[in-house]
Order: sequence, then structure tokens, then C-alpha cells
Amino acid sequence: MLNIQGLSKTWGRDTMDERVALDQVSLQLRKGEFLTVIGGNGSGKSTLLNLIAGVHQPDAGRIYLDGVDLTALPEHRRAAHLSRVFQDPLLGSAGGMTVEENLALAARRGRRRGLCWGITSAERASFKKMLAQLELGLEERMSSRVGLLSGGQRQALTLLMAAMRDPKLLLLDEHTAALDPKTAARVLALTNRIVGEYGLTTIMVTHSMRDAIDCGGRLIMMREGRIVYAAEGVQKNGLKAADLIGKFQSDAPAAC
Amino acid sequence: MLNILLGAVALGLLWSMATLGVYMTYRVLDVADLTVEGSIVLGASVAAVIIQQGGNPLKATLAAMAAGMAAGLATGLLHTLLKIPSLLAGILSMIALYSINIRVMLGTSNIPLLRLRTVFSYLQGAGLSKNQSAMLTGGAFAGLAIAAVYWFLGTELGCALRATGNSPQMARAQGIDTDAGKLLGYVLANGLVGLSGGLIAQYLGFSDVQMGSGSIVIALASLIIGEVVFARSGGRLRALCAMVLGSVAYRLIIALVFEAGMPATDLKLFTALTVAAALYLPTAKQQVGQKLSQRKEAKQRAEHPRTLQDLGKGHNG
Repeated sequence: MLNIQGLSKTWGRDTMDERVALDQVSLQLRKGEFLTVIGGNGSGKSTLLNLIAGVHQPDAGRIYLDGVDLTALPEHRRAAHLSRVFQDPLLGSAGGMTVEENLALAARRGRRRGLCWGITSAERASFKKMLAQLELGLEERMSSRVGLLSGGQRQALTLLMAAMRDPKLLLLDEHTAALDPKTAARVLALTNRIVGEYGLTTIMVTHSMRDAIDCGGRLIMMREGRIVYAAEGVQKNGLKAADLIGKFQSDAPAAC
Repeated sequence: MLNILLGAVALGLLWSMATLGVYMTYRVLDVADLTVEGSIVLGASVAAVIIQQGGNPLKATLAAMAAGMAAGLATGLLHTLLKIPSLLAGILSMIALYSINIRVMLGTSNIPLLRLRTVFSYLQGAGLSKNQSAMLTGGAFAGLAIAAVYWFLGTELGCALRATGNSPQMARAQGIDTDAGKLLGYVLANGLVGLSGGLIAQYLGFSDVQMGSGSIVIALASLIIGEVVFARSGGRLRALCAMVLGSVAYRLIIALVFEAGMPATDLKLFTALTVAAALYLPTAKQQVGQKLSQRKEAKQRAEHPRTLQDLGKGHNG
């Protein structure tokens, strides 16, 4: 489904601050697979996601999704193929627009937008049903501005928006990191439910070892722009946080 | 006096399209577009030249709108294609338009329209005074503009435009080309401003290369007055109507201040101060609200102590 070949990105090339963010990363994902990506700050995990999403252009390498070469497509054109949830709850939805307007925008992802009404009454009814399944009471607040919702509610809404239009790939960029522990757990449970229900091929970047182990069927650890450890299936299910910390340290280069 | 007030209402209605245009950029797209200073004169100049050459006033008015759209396209391209910051892109267009406007006016800086047929002549022919005709004609244009903007912002494209201004990152993640959105926003907004300019020139009876100076501040003043006075709550339709009402209110205020004896040369200072005060208003409200609720809470605690500490505070205070 997803095929990444030799993806590289260096920030500030040929300057004093030159820093390799991603170094020849190759990665294949099968349809319906749920991959968690773990790594410290500057490990390249967010860069990987941003390159897939088209926020930045890679220096080298290619990205194929379901046979389509995404590498040259601008960010908004890739949205037809993949969807995203950001770390900052404020970024994934339009705070000045209503809940239903946000959903209507997501319902048109990857489609031509013309001069038909931006939201139809048939859509309103189906949005109401979808929101009710979140069990957050949002179905009663469809015409409230999203800016009035809590961070957890906004992430839940963004998740729902990301699941619409049957994306071939869902990218989650530390999407629970900005929430309090209780809300983060709820949003993560909802993530697992939505990914399962819609059968989404998913990459979740996280810095929580616990979440990386508990979610999905495959895990990779990144450091200094490379994949330094990978586990899946039984091997992954048997992992403990302590094992991962061990991996972090055992592979660490000598301090200099 | 009555005629002065009627004139103020008429002028406010003619300016309201410019306010709606600034609403599109300042509120919907969230950019301060200074192109307005030039595109309003461009609209005025295009309309004036066409009418002076014996053209149909209605066609001249539409041409003014098209010219405004072209000016918006220029700013939009500077911003999206050349990646020039929006404020600077607007300033560049504004400066360039100064020269262009003189070229449009065939090398002169002023075109008088005395005794020529204007878009207001149709109703004047039916026996109305100039101000009455300007009020009705201006009101009709303003009504059409409100309807058009309301309709557009409700469409798929309009929703995409609103998302572009509100949360560009979200918009791109939902497949919206934010550069195209901004471009379209600049074009439509300055089309409205150009239309306004074309009508204003016909009402005032001239087009002058200097007439746009300060127009962005006037439009902002109208926008803020409209929002504060007429649209504290309610939906988009009400907000759009408030732009027109705000434009009229601004002109009435100016007329009254002139009547009270303010020298005409102080108008721009007065307008700038009005806008500064109005922009401070939301902050001021918050500050005062905080103070009041703090005071209320302190008083409540003193009267109904809940803890020993409260009791202590009550005695001290």
C-alpha cells in the first residue's frame, strides 16, 4: 500500500546548522496495517510524516501510495489520498467555523469544490449520526463554533474528519501529546476504534513507549533520521517499555 | 441639515461595497489588504473615463468592478506566486496603482463628471433628488452585494475560502489549495472595492488620484462600527448587513462631527482615532470584566467567608 524508497531530508544544507533529519529511510506498509513510530526529539519521526503529507519536499527518495507516486504532489493534492491529525488540537479543525461546517469540508476532501452549497441537509443528518457515535454529545452542538470545544473534543472531531472519504493512509502526529492524561487515553481509545471500524492503514508517531507498544501491529524506532529497530506481530506484542528503553540506550552512539 | 444627513446615508451606502470587500480580506481571509487604497481609485477612474467618453454609466460601473478585480489579482499573485508577505504585497499594488490610475485617467490626476449622465441619472429622471436617487441606487447595489457575498460564502468554494483564512493548515489537510483560495479572495474583495469606487466617483462628480487616501482606514472603521453596534451576535447574514449599516453610521458620525465644527482637515486623524479606540474595545471589555468579577468575588468572600483565610481577608480589607 505505502512504499517509501530512500527518503532523505537535510535541514539548512550547506550552512553551519546543517542537520540530517532523515537519512535514506525506506519503509513498506501493507493495506490495513497500523504502524507506530517512536523516537526522541530530532529523531526524524515528524519529518517522515511531514514528507509523506507533503508539508516539505524530500531531498531524495520517492513516496508511493497505492501505486500513485506522491513525491511531486503539493500538500493539498495529497489530501485526496491521505488524511492527518496534528499534535496541536487547534490545527486540525477551523476554530471559527461550526462543527458541521468542518465535517462538510472534510467530506469534500479530494473533490472539486464548486458553487453548490457547502453543506446539504442530507449531510447534516449523516454527520449527526457519526457524531453521536463519538459519545461526546457533539451531535447536539453541530452549529457551535469549533473554537468553543475542548482540546479532546477537537481531536476527536479531527479524527472523525480524517476517517471520512476513505483515506488510503491516516497520519497521526503525536495527536494525544497536547492533551491531559485522561483525555489522551480517551482519544487514543477512540483512535483504535475508528482505525478498526474503518480499516484504515495508519502511521502513528508518538513519544509514549506505552502507546507505541499498545497500539497497532507494528512498531519502528527512529534515531538520527534512521530506523534503528523494528518489531511486529508476536515480537511486538511481547515488548515492554523497559525493552524499548534498553534499545534506546544500547544503540546509542558514544557520547562526544 | 436634512440634506446633509441624506447625503451621508447615500455616501455610506456607496461605500458599503468597499466595507464588504475589506470584510472579505480582513475578516474572512485574515489579511490586511492595502490594495484597497488603489483599487477604489482605479474603480473611480475607470468609471469616470468611460462616462466622460460617453459610455453607458451602468457598463462603466461594471467595468470599475472588473478593474478592481484585476487589481486584486495583481496583489494575490504577488502574495501567492512571488511569496511576498500580504501586507507588503498590498502596499506594492497600492503604490503601482497610483501611476496606473493616472494613466487610466489619460495622464491627468482628476476627471470631472459635471452634467454627465451617471448611474444615478435614471432615478433622477423619474423626479427624485440626487441624494434620493443615490440612496435608492446605492441601497440596491448594497443589497445585491450582500446577497452575492452571503451566497458565495455559503458555497463549497466559499467554505473553502473561509477555512483558508481561519486555519490554513487544516485547509490544506482537507485538500484545499490555500494559494488559490487567497487569490480568489483578493480578486472578489477588490472587485467590490472597485465597484464602490466607480459609484462614489459618479456620486461625487469626479475621480481624483488622491481620493483613495485613507480608504482602508475608513472601511475598517465602518467594519468595526458595524460589528460592535449591529452584529454582536447572530450569523453571517447579520454580519454582512452590519457592514452596510456600519458604513452608513460612519458617514453619519462624520457628518455630525463636521456640523459640530471640526475642520475637514482633521477628518483622517479623527478616523484613525476612532479605529484605534474600536480595536481596543474588545481588550478593554475583557480588562474591565476581569476587574469587576474580581471585585465581586472579593466582596462575596468578605460577606460569606468560606475559609479562615477568607475571614482574615475580610477583616483586613
